[in-house]
Amino acid sequence: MALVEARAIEKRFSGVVAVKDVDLLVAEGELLGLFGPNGAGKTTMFNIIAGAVRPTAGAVRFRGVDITAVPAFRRARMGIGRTFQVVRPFRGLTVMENLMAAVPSAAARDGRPADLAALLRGVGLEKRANDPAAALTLGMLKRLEVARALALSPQLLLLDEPLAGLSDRECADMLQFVATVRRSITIVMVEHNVHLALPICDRAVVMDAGSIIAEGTPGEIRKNPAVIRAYLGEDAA
Amino acid sequence: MSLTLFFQLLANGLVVGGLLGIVALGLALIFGVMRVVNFAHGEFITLGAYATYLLVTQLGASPLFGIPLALALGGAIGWLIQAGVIARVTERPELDMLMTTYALSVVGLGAFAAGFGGDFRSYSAGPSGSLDLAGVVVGWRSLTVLLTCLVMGAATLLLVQRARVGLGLRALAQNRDAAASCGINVIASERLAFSAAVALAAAAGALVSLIGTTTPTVGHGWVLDGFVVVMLGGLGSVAGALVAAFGIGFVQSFASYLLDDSWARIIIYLLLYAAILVRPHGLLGRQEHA
Repeated sequence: MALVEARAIEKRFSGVVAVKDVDLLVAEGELLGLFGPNGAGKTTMFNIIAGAVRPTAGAVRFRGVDITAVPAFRRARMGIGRTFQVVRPFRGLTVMENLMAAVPSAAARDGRPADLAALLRGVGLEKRANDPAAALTLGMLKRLEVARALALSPQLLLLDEPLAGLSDRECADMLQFVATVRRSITIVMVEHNVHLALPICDRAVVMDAGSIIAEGTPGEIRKNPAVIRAYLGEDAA
Repeated sequence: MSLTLFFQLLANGLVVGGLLGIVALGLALIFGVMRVVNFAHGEFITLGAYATYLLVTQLGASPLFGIPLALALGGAIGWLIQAGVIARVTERPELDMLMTTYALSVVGLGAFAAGFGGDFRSYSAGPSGSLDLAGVVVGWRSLTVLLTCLVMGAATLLLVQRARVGLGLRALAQNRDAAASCGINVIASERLAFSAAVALAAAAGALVSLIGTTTPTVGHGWVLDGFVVVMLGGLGSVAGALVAAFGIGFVQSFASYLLDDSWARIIIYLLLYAAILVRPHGLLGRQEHA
């Protein structure tokens, strides 16, 4: 059984079709990359899984349970953690409080809240635990968001453009962290920088104009003519 | 000015500041969590005042029982109004929300006027006499008001700053989507914040009825000053509201004595204007980030 099963998903915004008839399966334990050019519908699909957007048609199942109409906060409590493309930290709270805000949900679910100090160590923010989040750089805030999502002790981690706005060094650090986290959690990652993100994925799905145009291993994706034509360009082949 | 008079004015300012603090705490809580300017807050003060008045005059109970009654009544009515009225316009443009709370205020004012007329109503039951502290005279009623405000203010601060539910409210005040992604029930949290704020306003009303007269407009003056306190303390800052409330209480007490009530109001609003120019995010408020 797939951890996430999205079937026949369609989403219209004021008559404009953002996603049409998309089937997306996420297997337990995999790191799935969701790629595509701007307007491909990948962020809409991501938000449909996270519960921020409700599909016009189709159904989403998580561990076999239909969550199509389940609100975002309840999905978080079920074990779906997420980050945001444009970071949304609780700027007036300390770094540690940002993580603590997610803990009651985790504790309510299974009584095993995450080790917050270890999480902060993992993202290199242990010395900033008592600083307000407003004092952090963008790279730090990106890592804080990942740590906050992990504080939920999620079974599924949704990463929305984790490399956006980061320096080369910060990108490398983030990818290394994601590679570490993936050992224990299923991850779906939407990322614009396909060249950096694709190599760490188990499997990739490429969307264009609201539909899936290819899926497979990173090697298969790189050679797929439809992907090359729509997204990667001839140089990547 | 003698030292005794100074402390007398200070004591008067404490009582006014305590009441303003409770009113402003509610306004700050609602604005901080929901970004809603609640024009109807004054009517919730009036609700608590009339509920206590009826409790005393119709049932012969002590007005002190009016405080828990107002808390419970305000909490329940706040919950219903948030669920039935406010929640339906939360996602709408700000002007819709402003007009909704303004309409609630007009409806409440009309209902109180229709039900009670414009008469000044008061009662004599409850604590009487005064405490003389080296010449500084504080009535037991005023002392009751101050102590109750301090307890309610401290309890609210503890709830917001130390309790789990308070952490959720503070997170929600920072970012709605991120709060939901952390498993925080946004709708229930907003309902709780509104309900608690209305409970505080109604309790303040119960206390106002203890030291003054009750009319359909009794809440208006308090809520206007409450808005000033919230602006001075920093929009949405609960701690800032408390600090500013006592500041305004002292200014009002001293200016009323040394000049007159009209000048006290002029000075308070000049202070507000100066604060907007010099420190627009208030005493303890945060600057908004992009």
